[in-house]
Amino acid sequence: MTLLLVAPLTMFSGQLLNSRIDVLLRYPALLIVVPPLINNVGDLASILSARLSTALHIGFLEPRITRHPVLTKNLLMVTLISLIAFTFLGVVGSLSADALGLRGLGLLKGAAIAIIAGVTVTLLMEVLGTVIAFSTYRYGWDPDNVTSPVVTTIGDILGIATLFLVLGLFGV
Amino acid sequence: MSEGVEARKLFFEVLPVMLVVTLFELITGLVLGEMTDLLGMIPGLIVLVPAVLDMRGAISCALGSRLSTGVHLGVIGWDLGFNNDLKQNVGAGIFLSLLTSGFLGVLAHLTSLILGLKSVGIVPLTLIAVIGGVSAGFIQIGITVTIALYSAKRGMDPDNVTIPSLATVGDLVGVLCLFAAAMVVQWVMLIGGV
Repeated sequence: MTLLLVAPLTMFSGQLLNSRIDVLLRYPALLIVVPPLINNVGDLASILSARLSTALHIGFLEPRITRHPVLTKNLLMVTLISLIAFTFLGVVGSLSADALGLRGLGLLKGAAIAIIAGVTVTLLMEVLGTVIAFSTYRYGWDPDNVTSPVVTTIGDILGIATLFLVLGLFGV
Repeated sequence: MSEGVEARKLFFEVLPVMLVVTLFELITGLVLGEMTDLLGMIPGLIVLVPAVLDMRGAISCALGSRLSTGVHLGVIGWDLGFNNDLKQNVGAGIFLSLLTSGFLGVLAHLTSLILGLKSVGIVPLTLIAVIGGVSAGFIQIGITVTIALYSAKRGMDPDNVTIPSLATVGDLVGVLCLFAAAMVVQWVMLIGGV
């Protein structure tokens, strides 16, 4: 049942891709960024949200936005992981696109787009993950039922929207 | 101090997993990049990509958790074979794949129409979604069952093994199956002269 409710939401990210299909077909190398962008950020936000929920329930953390070390260190670590993972994606992705002869925007631009888009979406998803963890705790929702589907679908939409915004910054 | 240790643990445990996942997602992306001809020829196909991957992920992960629970309860196991409990879980997974894939195909066509974007048509898109989604379903469910039961037999907790394994190979299997389904449907359309 949840699946049938989530299905229409997944259309948003697909139609976002569809609306700029001309750009994606002109530069197929950009498609390399799409699966990692929509998958990794969802994973990271789910991990963050799960960890914060646990900390809240154990009593290590209060559901308030403060400079609490549990909160700041978790956010910092997730940012660092995404920076490393997307740098890896940018460099290896650009090189392999080049090797396979997929047209892109060049090694440097391609790598920069992956890193900037990836880290930006991660930061947005950290906000979302924190808000979800805090509100599920405050309002007594079951985090298992709420977090994963919400984070995955919103992560997809934010990921693709951010990719196109970053492409816009690069004049594509 | 304890927060520092915990945060470091998060970093060193999650980073390797994220790098492996990123590598597999990168390969998935390369397959998509190689699909551009097909994506250009079949308007609306791109809409199915995130949708089918999400649905497949949701179904396989749910099945993985259910199998783990069954293993812990002792009603499902490697040595118990393809018994009734396992059959019901697998059957539910295949049925859900069929239902959601068909729904996604219809939705992809309708939303394209509403937005004024091109679509190859409701029948081809739904066929691609169903053939791709269900064949990916069979492969992923096969992988899930094998990993869940075998890891339990070896004394591991299937909860810790099935979801990361599916996260790494699931999207690649999904994109490859959609790719194959799109080729088959396009070929049939060419033969049929549609």
